[in-house]
Amino acid sequence: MTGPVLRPGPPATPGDLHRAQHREELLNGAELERIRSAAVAWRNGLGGLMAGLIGFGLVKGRSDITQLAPAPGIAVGVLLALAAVTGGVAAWWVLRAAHGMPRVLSADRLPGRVADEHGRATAAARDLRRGSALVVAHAVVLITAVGVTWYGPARAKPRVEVVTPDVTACGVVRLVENGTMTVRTGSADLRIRLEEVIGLGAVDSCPAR
Amino acid sequence: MHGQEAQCPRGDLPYAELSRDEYAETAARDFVPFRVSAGITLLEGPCPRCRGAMSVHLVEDIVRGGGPTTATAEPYHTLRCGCRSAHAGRPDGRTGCGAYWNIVVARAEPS
Repeated sequence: MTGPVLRPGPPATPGDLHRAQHREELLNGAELERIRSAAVAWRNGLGGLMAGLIGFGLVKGRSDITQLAPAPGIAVGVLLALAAVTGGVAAWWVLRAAHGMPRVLSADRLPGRVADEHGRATAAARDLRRGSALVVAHAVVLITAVGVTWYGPARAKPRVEVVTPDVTACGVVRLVENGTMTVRTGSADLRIRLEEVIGLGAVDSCPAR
Repeated sequence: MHGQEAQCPRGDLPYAELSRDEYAETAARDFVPFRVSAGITLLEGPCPRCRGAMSVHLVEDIVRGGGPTTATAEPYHTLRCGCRSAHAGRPDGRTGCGAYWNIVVARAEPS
């Protein structure tokens, strides 16, 4: 393994000089401070955005996933778990970009100041980019979960099983009047005289016919 | 890029932002490159014009704020004198004697 070698470059122009001066100004000392300030601003902004989003979700629409049908309820559970993971990882990255993570280094492995600050600045910039992207993903997942909770199909109405000497009917009670009970079984309504009923109970679901 | 505190043999030269072809040739011969870490190379050597000692960190990428910009990836690096001697006429905030030149940092060919 050999190190780099140097060769003369093309004739330098004033444009080259201006670029070099600009690069120097960006690199000299303020690189880490710049990315830390940006990360703090992003942390505050994204925190406020998420607080507003969560507040909005809590005061509008259905908020109890037990009112949802089983499949959407499971979907919302998965989405909320995903939101928790993405939100947690995003917070970790953004906070690490804003404040760094203290480490114990062997003193003889400490790089020079420029290399050290530049390395930490580029790492913080990577953390901030990943963190802010994940915050957006977190918001999208959370909004989806809230949307499914609000607009997803509701859990099915309670069903009853009615037993008479002649028939066993299972379905949703639609009407009880004049001594008869109307039970919707599938797509048909069945009228049952109450005096004939010998058994009545609630069931989770009706058997397939 | 950072200059290094050092005595400049030609501190009497006035500050002048100029470049000559021989600067690049002299610097390629006199400067020594060190690989500091991934993406960072340190060059040390004397300024081709005033012979003041200087060191420069070359970085592959740099952190800046704001939106995207049009990047121009040149196959060379522009160095400028970073000595701290008080060359007459130097603007505030600048270092060196004003000399600048282009240099190419290449990976050594395996022998």
